[in-house]
This record gives sequence, structure tokens and C-alpha cells, in this order.
Amino acid sequence: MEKKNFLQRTFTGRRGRRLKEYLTAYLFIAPASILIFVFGIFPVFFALYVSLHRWRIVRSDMIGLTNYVNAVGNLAYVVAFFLGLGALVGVYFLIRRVLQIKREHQDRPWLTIVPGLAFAAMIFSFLNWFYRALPEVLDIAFKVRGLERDEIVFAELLGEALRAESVLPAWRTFLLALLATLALSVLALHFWRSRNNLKHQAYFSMGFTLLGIGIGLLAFTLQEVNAAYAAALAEGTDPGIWPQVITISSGLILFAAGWLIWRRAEKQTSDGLFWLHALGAMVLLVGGWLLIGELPAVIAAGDKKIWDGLKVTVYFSLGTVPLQLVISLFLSVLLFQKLVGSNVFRIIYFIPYVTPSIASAAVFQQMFSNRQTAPVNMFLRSLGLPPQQWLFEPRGIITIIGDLIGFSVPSWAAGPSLAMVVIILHSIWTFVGYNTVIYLAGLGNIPKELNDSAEVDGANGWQVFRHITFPLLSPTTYFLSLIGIIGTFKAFNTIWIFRSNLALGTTDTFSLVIFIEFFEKLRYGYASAMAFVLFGIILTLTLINNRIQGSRVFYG
Amino acid sequence: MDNRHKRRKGFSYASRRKIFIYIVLSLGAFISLIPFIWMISTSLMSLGEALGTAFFPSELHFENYAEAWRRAQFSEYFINSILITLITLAGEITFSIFAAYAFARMEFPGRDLIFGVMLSTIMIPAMVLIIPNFLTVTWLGRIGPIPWINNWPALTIPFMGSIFSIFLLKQFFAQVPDELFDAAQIDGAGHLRFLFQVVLPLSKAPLMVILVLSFIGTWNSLAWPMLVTNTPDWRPISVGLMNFVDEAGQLVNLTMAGAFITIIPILVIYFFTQRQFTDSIARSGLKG
Amino acid sequence: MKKFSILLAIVMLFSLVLAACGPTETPPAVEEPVVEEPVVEEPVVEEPEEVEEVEEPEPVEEAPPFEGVTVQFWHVYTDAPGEALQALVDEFNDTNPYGITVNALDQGRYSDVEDKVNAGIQSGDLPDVVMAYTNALADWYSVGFIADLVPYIDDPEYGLNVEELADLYPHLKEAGSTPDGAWIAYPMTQSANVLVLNYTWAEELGFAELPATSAELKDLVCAAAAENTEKGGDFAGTGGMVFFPNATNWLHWLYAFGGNELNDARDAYDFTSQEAIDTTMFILDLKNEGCVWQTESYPNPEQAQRKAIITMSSTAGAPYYAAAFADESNADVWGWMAAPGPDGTLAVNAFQQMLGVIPSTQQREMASWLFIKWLTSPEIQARWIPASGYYGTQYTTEAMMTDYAAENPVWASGVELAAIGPSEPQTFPAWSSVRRTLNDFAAELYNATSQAEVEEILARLTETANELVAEVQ
Repeated sequence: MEKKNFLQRTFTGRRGRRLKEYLTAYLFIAPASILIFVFGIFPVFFALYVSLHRWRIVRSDMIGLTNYVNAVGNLAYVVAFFLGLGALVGVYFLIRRVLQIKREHQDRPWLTIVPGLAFAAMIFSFLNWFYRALPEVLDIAFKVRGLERDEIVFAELLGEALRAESVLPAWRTFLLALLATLALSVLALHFWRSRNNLKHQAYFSMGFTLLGIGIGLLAFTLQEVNAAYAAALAEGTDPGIWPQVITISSGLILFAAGWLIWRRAEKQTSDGLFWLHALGAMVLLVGGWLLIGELPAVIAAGDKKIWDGLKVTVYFSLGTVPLQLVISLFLSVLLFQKLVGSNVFRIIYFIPYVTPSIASAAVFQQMFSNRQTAPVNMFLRSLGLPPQQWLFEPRGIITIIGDLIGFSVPSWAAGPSLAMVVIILHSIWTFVGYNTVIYLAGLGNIPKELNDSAEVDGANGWQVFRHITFPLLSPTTYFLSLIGIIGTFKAFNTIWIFRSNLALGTTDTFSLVIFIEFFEKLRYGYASAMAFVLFGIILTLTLINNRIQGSRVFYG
Repeated sequence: MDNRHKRRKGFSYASRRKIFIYIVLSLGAFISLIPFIWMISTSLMSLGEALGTAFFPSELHFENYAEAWRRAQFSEYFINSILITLITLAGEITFSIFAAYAFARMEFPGRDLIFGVMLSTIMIPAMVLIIPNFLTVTWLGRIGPIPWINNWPALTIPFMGSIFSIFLLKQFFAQVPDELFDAAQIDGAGHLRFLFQVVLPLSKAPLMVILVLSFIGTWNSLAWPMLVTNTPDWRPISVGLMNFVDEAGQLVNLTMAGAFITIIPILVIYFFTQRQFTDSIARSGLKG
Repeated sequence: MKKFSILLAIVMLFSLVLAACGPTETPPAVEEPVVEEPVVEEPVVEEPEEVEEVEEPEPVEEAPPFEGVTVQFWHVYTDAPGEALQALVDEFNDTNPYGITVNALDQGRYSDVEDKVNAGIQSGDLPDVVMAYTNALADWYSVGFIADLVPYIDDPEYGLNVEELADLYPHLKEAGSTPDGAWIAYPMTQSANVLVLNYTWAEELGFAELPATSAELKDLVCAAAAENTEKGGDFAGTGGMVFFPNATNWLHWLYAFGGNELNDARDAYDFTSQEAIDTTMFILDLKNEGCVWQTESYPNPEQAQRKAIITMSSTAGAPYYAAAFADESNADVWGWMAAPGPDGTLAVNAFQQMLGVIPSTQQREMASWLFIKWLTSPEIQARWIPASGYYGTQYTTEAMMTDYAAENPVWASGVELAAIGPSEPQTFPAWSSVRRTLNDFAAELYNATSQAEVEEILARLTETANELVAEVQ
């Protein structure tokens, strides 16, 4: 009875309604979020843990950033350093935001610092528990050797692992922190009755967490750098990390500053314009020059496979995404004319996407076979062109075309290998149907009246498309290009089927390199580190894409 | 091509345009279909012919389909695949609808942060997920009431939380006009009623997209089902296709026959949802 | 409705918190498990020895009763071979005197089995007997997840007696043993990578005898290539040998040239030998004369169409060749031969389909061994061979197969070839990684243009291979 009264009290009034809204929302997202956290985010932490170890099939020593350094050279330290700094910059922005809200609402949010601190403590105590419990749980696989492998034994071993000396106190600390956070949060809500209470709590929670991450990361990086120096000193070499960190940092900062000045100059009125432009350009140049001077040397110390893989990936992306977008946009506009039989076409275009890749890849291998009698080679021969090796061909397509017309192409302009071109064609073939369907959904969302009124105004088909349809489709285009780029960066299944060693690695995208390290060479630790490098690259690309394209997307 | 032209000879321009469109569409269809036709044609060949270079079978071996069906244990795997797909879809669509609605139309602290973090999982290279997820399902099965490995949970539950579906639905839910929500609130409808009576009926198109895409994903997945099943009890249809490949060669004709069999259900589903696709898009009148 | 959703929220949250608190509800027992921890913390490489030491004090202990023991067996056979294997396993389950039950489960291809075991090693979810190639078993042994079979094979009651051991082809013990003497892979059957030759065509070209040296082989394939070039049309550029540069095929020729992968002391990889250079130069010579070429898939149809006089294949590929020749209505006689070296040394690249036992209790390991022993016993093996097309592992089996051999001449010709060997150094540290790397290097070697480049690539290969060794040690 009492409980109900309490409930009624809690959820009435404006604050109560909002609280109820929050709870309902959390309830709504709970199932999906829990699943995504368990099967999407936990693996990331797991992989992070793996990447810090020497791990070939089984876990061996903790080796810090070594895997990353092997992958990208000293750039690993630079990036770790910048991530730490970035977290601190994030803290700065959060504080600014809090102060801004405070000014606007004449708030005194300082009380909410307490639950914020508790929240950060809770996060870190959870991570601490995770870090201690994970190896214990992983060791169960070792302990179970020599025992009967059944459910009871596993349950017992899990109990043992979670109760181990180092794990249990961590778990208790976490529970304590969790309870403290909840209690302090409720108390803060009770004592400071402001609309912005929870918002401030959230900001402070994030702020302290970020602060912890930033400081932790910087300390960890510093420790790793010192260890690297110590190791190098013992060998009598100089790792040269600090100069590199400083050069690259100042290069980046100058580059960013130059960019800002340039941007500002564009908004300036005429008088200062030229000088600002000149200044911006100069700073940009200096920054860029520093970066160009330093980065390749740093990168060259890393794993060559990664940079080769990246080059192939860029070819794959640039070869696939724009072309498949253009083709599918074209097809979808034609299909949208509601002609007789357009449904049939729609289904036909979708067929490649639903064909299992084991089958479509087998067909493509036959079509693009190196045999003289293979269909594509027959076609080439009917055009009077020499048959090609296709999937066995490591030479770049531009080189090959150059040879055909008697023009020698420099090696840097070779382009993707012919083997990669086949993979690109297969990828386009597969995804055009999918993109067409999404574009059709987008086209269906454009109000018909807009097109009609434009046509009444005398615009022709191309003009309507250029000025109305295409801009209104920009969210779809943005979505598809993002999905496409991410897809090409992550693809490995079909490439693996197509891969021939005769192509000499010219079809090994970054994902494929990781795949090979992971499943062929069983270097789990190193492969995980590489996967984080790839993740970082995709994330950066997405953010850049967001800034460039996102600002131009027209959400009508 | 320009307007004057259009006005003067409206009819002939329109029909010529139609012919042009049909030509282009047919060309596209032809290119989409070549590999597919090849697949069907190979599926009707004898093994030797399939290994060779012929485009059309000299004699139609329809028995390949019966053979493929038997050898790939399709009668068993087919039911498995359907069950797995249905369970996954039920969970995925339900969970995604609620989550997408909350992200699109409700306010709560941490909304954008949670969504952003979840969205970033799209960018994680898939190979690092395999081992931790294998560990997770193994352990969940050991400590939970039912085994996960070699059972439906390992094959379905990890795929029920799909940020892609949530993202797609969120985009559509966010476009539902606010006035509708206000009107519903005045009628005394809460979030649940608004979601089920107003938003969902307007969102058939994205739901169909999700339905078809997840269906394909579940239907064609291979590596994960192989990893988490030890017996044929829950193995899906894609595993059967691998029965035709061994280290000394591949029964190409049977692979193709099997692949064609596996595509049929997807095409049927797509064919039926396809109508609603168009209809609901046309009817919904959503803002672009 | 509102209340309902709120209540639900509360219940959910409550159950979540409860679930989260789960592990702590049981108060910590007396910390006995801690004793085991130092063992776990030790470097992994030492673990296998640890396991042996635990086992060795008690191998001759009272015969463990096996009543009710269920052994899980992961294999790679589907379809007809799968059914035949299942029939054998059923028979074992019905007739074995120990009361052991074997649960045989098909796990896809070899690569699938490897992936599954690698994942299982992380979670402890593993079978008792697993079928794999030796290099994979050696990998798992090196991290402590494959048992040494020596105590079981030597067991006076359940092991192999002297005659049985002597019956096993002598090279197989070495093939399944690590350099430190642990027997980790027990052979179920054998196969070999061989040359497939079109005898009829060779005779037509004037080569009545099998080529006895690499020079004679070159004459043969180049004559065939010349004939097809003359024919022109679809035949242009074909006719010689289909040689796909990968680890299996390159090593096959290396063996014929008398080379191997290790240095003289046999303690490190060394691909820089004169033999390795000669092998590569021989292949490059064939390539430059237009006598070898590649196909994107198995070259059976090309052989049946007389577009290749020699191809390289596993003996297990015989049915595919038969189908291709039948389809072309090509009545040519084809058969297998070993690759001849410059001095007439004959070599194939022999493989064994191996069984490994995963560590568990002594009782289970012994039960697993008893099943392996039964499955590989000559009578059972003699029934398995016709179903699978592989080769036996014992002299007695060979004697039992005379009728089958008479009916299947191609298969029969493989018996001797498989015995020629040699095999890859499957149990040498890191061989699984090295051979994968070798696939890429073989392609690179095939694209080399000069002997200097070949030497450079081989030196790089050696360096890479030894780095891989350092990684596992």
C-alpha cells in the first residue's frame, strides 16, 4: 500500500511526469540497448583487452601499446596522447556548457557535482572489476583441462573466478559506488528542485568520466613512452617518440589554426581579407609541411601491410560507392515513373543482393576467368582486345590500359589492380539493387505536389530532378554513401572468396589484412589492435563526412 | 529534349521517352540477371559440364535439384532457417520499434550519447566481434536456464538488437508531424497508443525494408551459425550449401541448384512485401 | 495503461538490479581455489608439460571403467562418407565392450573445425576427439589443448602391442609427433598431392614412358603446349602443365628436387637452399617457355579437354576427374605419378587426416583413444577406405584392399605414391602460419624475373618464417 502511495507521489506533478517519461523511455530502449551493449559494445572492450596482450590463440603477457606500435609505428603514442588530450578538451566543453546553462537559468548546479563524481567512480569501479574478472573467467578454459567438462564444473569454476581474491572486492566496490550514485542522485534531486537538475547531473557525470579517461590515458601513454625509452636505452637506440609527438602535434595544431583563420577570413569584410587569407594559407602550409615531413617517416616504421591495405581499401571505396550510387539513383528515378512492369524490374534488380555470395562469387569467377574462352575474355577478343588474367592480375588497371594504347603509366598512377576491379564490379553488381530500393523509398517520400507545381512552372524533367528531387533525396544519398563507405571498409567475406595469391596482395583491403591476421595467423592481439586502427579510421571518416556532407544535406 | 519540343509533339515524345526508359531498364535487368541465369543454367548441368565452359546445359538435369535438396539436408535446414528467421525478426522488430520511438520522440538524459555510442558499433570491424560474442553466448547458456550453444538463442538473440533497424525507423518516426502527437495527447493517448495507432501504421515502408533486409541477413549468414552449432538440429540452410565444397573440389552444379533453392523464399517475401512497399509509401504522405 | 508501463519499468529495473547482484549473494567460500592460480598465471607455453606431469604419475593406475562415458568426436565428413562414418560409429557404440558411447558430429570443412576449436579454446567448449591436419593439432598442442597420446599408445592393456605398432607405416609416427617426442596426431587415413597425367596423350606425343626426370617432364609438357599452340583457337596458350603456385604445389616440387624446408641442423626454417632456388628456376623456366599456366578453379575440365597434359591434385580429387573425363566423353587413360626431380628422385606431398585428443580426465582421454584405436584398426579402416577414397595407414589394411585395388586401378596407383612421401614438417613450430605465408610467397616467386630476385624472395621467406617461430616460442 505504502509503495503505491509513494509511486503516486513520485509520478505526479510536472517533475513527476517528466520522471515518468524518462523511465518509460529507458524502458522502451532497454531491450535493444541491452542486446547492443552485450553483443556490440562488450566485444569492443574485450577486443581492447585482447589488443593490449600478446595473444596467439591463448592469452599471454600484457604488452601495453606494443601491438599498436607494431601496426602504425610511433603514431600509436601520438594518437593515444591526442585521445587523452581530446578527452580533456571534452571536459572543457562540458564545463563551458554547464556554465552557459547556469548563466541562462541563474542556476546553482554545484550540488550535482556530488552525484556526478559518484557516477564516474561507479564507471571506473565497473571497469576495474571487468579488468580483473575477465582474465579469471578466461582462465576457466585452462582450468577445465583435466576435469570432466560438464555444466556443474563450469558453474563452479565461474563461481570461483568471480569470488577470486582480486575480483570480489572490486565487485563490492562497484556495487557500493552504484548504490551511492543512485542514493546521491535521488538526494540531489530532493534538495535542489530545479528542472535542470538531471541535466546537470548528466553533464557532471560525463565530465568526471571523461576527465578520468583523459588523465588515465595520458598517464598510460606517458608510462608506455617511458618504457619504450627505457627499452631503447638498453639497446642503445633512440626511439625518438617525443620529437615526433611534438612535431606532429604542432603540425596538426598549426593546420587546424590555419584552417580556422582561413574560414574566418571568408566571413570578414574586405579590408583585412587578403592578409587574413595570406596568414591562414601560410599557417596551413607550415602545418601541412610539418605533417608531410614527419608523418611518412613515422608511418613507415609501422606495418607495411596496413598502408598497402588502406590504399586498396580506398580504391575499393572510390571504385564502388560513387558508381553504385549514380547507377541506382538513375534506375530508381526511371522505376519511379510507374510504368507497366516496373515491379518486375524492381524484383530483378534486387536479385543480386539476395543471391548468396558463395554462388555469385563462383559465377563471377567463371565469367572473369583467365581462360581464353571465358565470357568476358571472349567479349574482349570480339572487340579486338587481348584477353586478361583478371583475378590473377596484380598490375593496375590504368597500367594495363596504358600498355594497350602504348602509353607507359608511372607506377604511382597504376590504379587498382585488375583483380580488384573484378571485386569492385561484383560489389557494384550486388548493391545497386539494394540502393535502388532505398532510393525508391526516398522518392516515395517526396510530396508529389512539389514536382507537379514545378512542372506547371515550366521546369523540364532534368531541372525538376536537379533542383527538387535530388536535393530532397540528399538524406537518402547521405545515408547510402555512409553505409556504402563503411561497408567497403568492413567487407571481407566476398573478397576472401575472390582472393587469389597470384594477385600478390593487391586485393587485400585493410579488413582482409585484419581477417588474415586473425583467422589465418591467429594473432588475436595484433589483429585486434589493427581492428581498432581501422575503427578509428572509419570513425574519423564518418565524422569528416558528417561535417562536409552533413552540412549540405537538405532535410526538407 | 527541351520544352518546346515536348509541347509540339507531346505524344511521340512521351512514347519515345518510354521506349528509352524500357531499353535502359532492360539493359540493367540483363546485367543483373546474367550471373543469375548462369547460376540456373549451371544448376541444370552434369558435374563435368558444370566444371567446363558451356553456357547452356546440353541436356537438362532437373534431378540436380532433388539431389541438392537431399545432400544439403535442406528438408531439415529449411525449417531451422525459417524458425531462426521468425524468432530473430519478431525480437528485432519489436525491440527496434520501441527503441526507435524513444530515440525519435521522447526526451531523456543521455539520449544522444546512448544513440551515438550504439550507432558507432556499426563501424566496428566484424571479425573482432566473433570470439567475444562466442564467449558471451557460451557463458549465458551455462549460467542461464537454457543452453544457448546449439540452440535457438545463440542463433537469434544476438541479432535482435539491431542499431541499423533502429536508425532506419527513427528516421521515419521523427518525420511524423508533431501535430499528430499533440492531437493524440489531447485525446488522452499515451506513448504506447500513439505508437501503435498512429506511428506504426504510417511506417509500413521502413518496417518492410527492415523485414526484408533482416530476412536476407539471417537467411544467408554462415560463419556464426557454424560456430555456435555442433549438430544439425539448429543449423540453417546456408550451412547446407557448404556440403558441396570439399578440399578436393566443388560440386558446382549442386552448389548452384542449392543456391537457387535458398533464394526462392527471399524472392517470394520480397515479391509480397514489395506491393505494400509501394502502397504504403504512396499512401503515407509523409514529409520528405 | 500508464500504470502498467510504470509497473513494468519498476519490475524490470528491480529484476535487473537483482540479476546484477546475483554473484555476490552467495557469500565467499573459504578461498581454496587460490592455490591453483599461480599455475594459471605462468606463461602458456609451458602448460602442455604441466598437463603431462599431472597425468604421468598415474597412467598405469587401475583400468578406468568406461561405462557410460560419452566421447564427442568432431569430423569433416558429410553426405555419403558422413553416413558411412556414422555407420561405423554406431557399430562401435553397439559392440564396444567398455560401454563407451561416441557422438560423431560433422563440423563442416577443416577450416570450420579449426575456427571452432580456436573459439572453443577461449571458452572451454571442446570435443574429446577432433579431426584436423597435423599443423593445426600442433598449434593447439603448443598452447596445451591437445593431449600427448604416448601414455595411451604405450598402455599395456589398452595400447598398441609391438606388432600393431610395427604394422603402422613407419613415417606416420614421425608425422604425428612433435620434435620433443609427444605423439599428438594419430593418423586416420592418408592422401597425397600428385601429378595427374594424360597417358594417352603422352603416348601420342611420343612419350611412351613416364617422364623420369624433371628435364623429361619439361620436354613432355612443352611438347603438349606446342601442340595446342599449333591448334590455336581456344587451345592457344594451353596444353602444358596446370601449376598453381601455392604452398602445397611448390613444396611438392621442392621435395622432388631433393630439398626441404629446414636447415641442416633441423632447428630453423631455411628456404635459401640451392634446391629451393633450382625448384623455382625450373618452374620459372617452364613458365617462360609457355609450358605452365593456371586456372581459377580446379583444373579437372582442362585436363579432360586436353588443355593440360599434367595437373596437380589431391588423390581425393579422383571422382572429380572421372566426372570431367566422362562428361567430355574423353576415353583417354589418365593416372597419377610422382613429381620427378632432376636426378630422378620421385616425390609427392603426402598428407594425413589426423585425429587428436583434447585434454580432459584420464578416463575420457583413454576412452577417446580406445575409439581412435578401433576406428583405425585394419578391418574398420578397410571398410572406411572405399567410402572415403583415402588411403590406409597400416600394412595389414593394404593387404586387405587387394580386391578393391584391382577394381580401382587409379586408386591402386596411389597406394605406392602416398608411401613415397615426404610430408611437410607439420609439427615443426609455427608450420601452420609458415605454410600460409608460403602460399603468398609461392605466388611472388612465380612472378619473379631473375635468379637474384628469387634468392631475395627466398631469403625474405626464411626470415619471415623464423620470425613466426619466434612468435610462438
